[in-house]
Amino acid sequence: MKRFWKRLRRRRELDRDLEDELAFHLEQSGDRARFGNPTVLRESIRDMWAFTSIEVWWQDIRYAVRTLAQHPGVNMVGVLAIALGIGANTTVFTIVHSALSFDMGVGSVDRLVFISATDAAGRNPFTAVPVYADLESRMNVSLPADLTPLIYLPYRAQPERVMFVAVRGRVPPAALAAAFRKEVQQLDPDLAVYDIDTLETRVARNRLEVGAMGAMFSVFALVALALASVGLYAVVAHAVSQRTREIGIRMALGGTEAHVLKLVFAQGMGQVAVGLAIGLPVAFAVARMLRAILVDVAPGDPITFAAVILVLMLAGFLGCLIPAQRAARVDPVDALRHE
Amino acid sequence: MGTDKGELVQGTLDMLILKTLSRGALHGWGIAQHIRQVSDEVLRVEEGSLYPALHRLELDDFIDSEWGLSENNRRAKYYRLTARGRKQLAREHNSWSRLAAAIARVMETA
Repeated sequence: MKRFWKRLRRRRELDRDLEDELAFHLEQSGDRARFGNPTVLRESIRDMWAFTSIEVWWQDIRYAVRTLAQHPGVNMVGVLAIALGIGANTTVFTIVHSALSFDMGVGSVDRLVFISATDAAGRNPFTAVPVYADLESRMNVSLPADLTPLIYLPYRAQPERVMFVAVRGRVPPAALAAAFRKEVQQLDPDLAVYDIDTLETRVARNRLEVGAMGAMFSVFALVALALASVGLYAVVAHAVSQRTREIGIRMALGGTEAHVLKLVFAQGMGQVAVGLAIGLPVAFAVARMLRAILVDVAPGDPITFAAVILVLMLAGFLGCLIPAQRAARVDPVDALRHE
Repeated sequence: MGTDKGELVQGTLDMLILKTLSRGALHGWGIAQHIRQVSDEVLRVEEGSLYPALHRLELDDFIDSEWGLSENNRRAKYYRLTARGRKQLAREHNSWSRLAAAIARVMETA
């Protein structure tokens, strides 16, 4: 820490200090030739005091921005791929997430019953009595304004040709089914009783559908994510491989693999960052819209966002790393011929 | 590493600088002169290695610097040994003595 402040304080006057210090030495010795290359000396001392890594990074980033500006076409594709990737993925994952974990705010969703009644023309012949006027607040949901009014009806008010009956008993379900069938046939021998199941089975069957839908959407989302990743990788890798010649020159001039990687990463990850900067707000906006449509969707479920961003960043990372490493290992002579 | 040219054994420059400064604050030119004279002109410190070494030592807090006036009334940067530097000198002196003695033993055992 102490060294940090020392550097910070000293850096500002370092150049003049160094000049004066070396000038004094030269004056004393009266022999300029013996100094060798004063620029190299000054440079090496300056490097000691500098926060070299930060400054070099900053240079790389500025260089990256310039290069990005030079190839707007390719870069727009990359940026759009990222933006779409994030937007689409977070959206799909958000939908799936909400479908699978939909919570109406009541203990057992499977016990809720809705009965709807419409006449032949599709009109509703009943007058709704708002027994559950407080449904919205009770269930912590907001119902759409154009919702067809729903009411609970006694069976006698509107007999149906087919009906479901839920039976609760203290005996095992199999025994109950037999007893129930007997009761019904006593009422009317022509009534067919079929499709008898326990509530658990029915709920499970319902869940299965939602689950299957969820799984399907998850697969879609994963495919989309994979496509986005591959696309991102391809764009970044292509941009890097186009710089093979430049990388060869840098290596020939004494650049190390680390230098090249840093340079390439500054640009590639810069691209990814711009894509994220555009894609994230879009994804958030879509999630917000979804919240209006789908009840109870957390806008931008953070885990989903983080996961998608991570995967895409990994793709960008690999897209930089692999071609850059390959380019850095190429014999400079080959790289210079490459075109 | 031709010794006839008065070049230094690798890694000894820091120690020589610290030792020189243990007599009191001195500027770069003075340090180089002192080493040259005391070694009977055998050791010549190149400026190209002296100044980087000084700055490195300063960054490591082994020495401190301050602008002052030289004997001939010129502005000169004076280096002074710090407490840390004094300890470092003791350490380096110690290991150098051991090393030199060891080399001498090897060379004198035919």
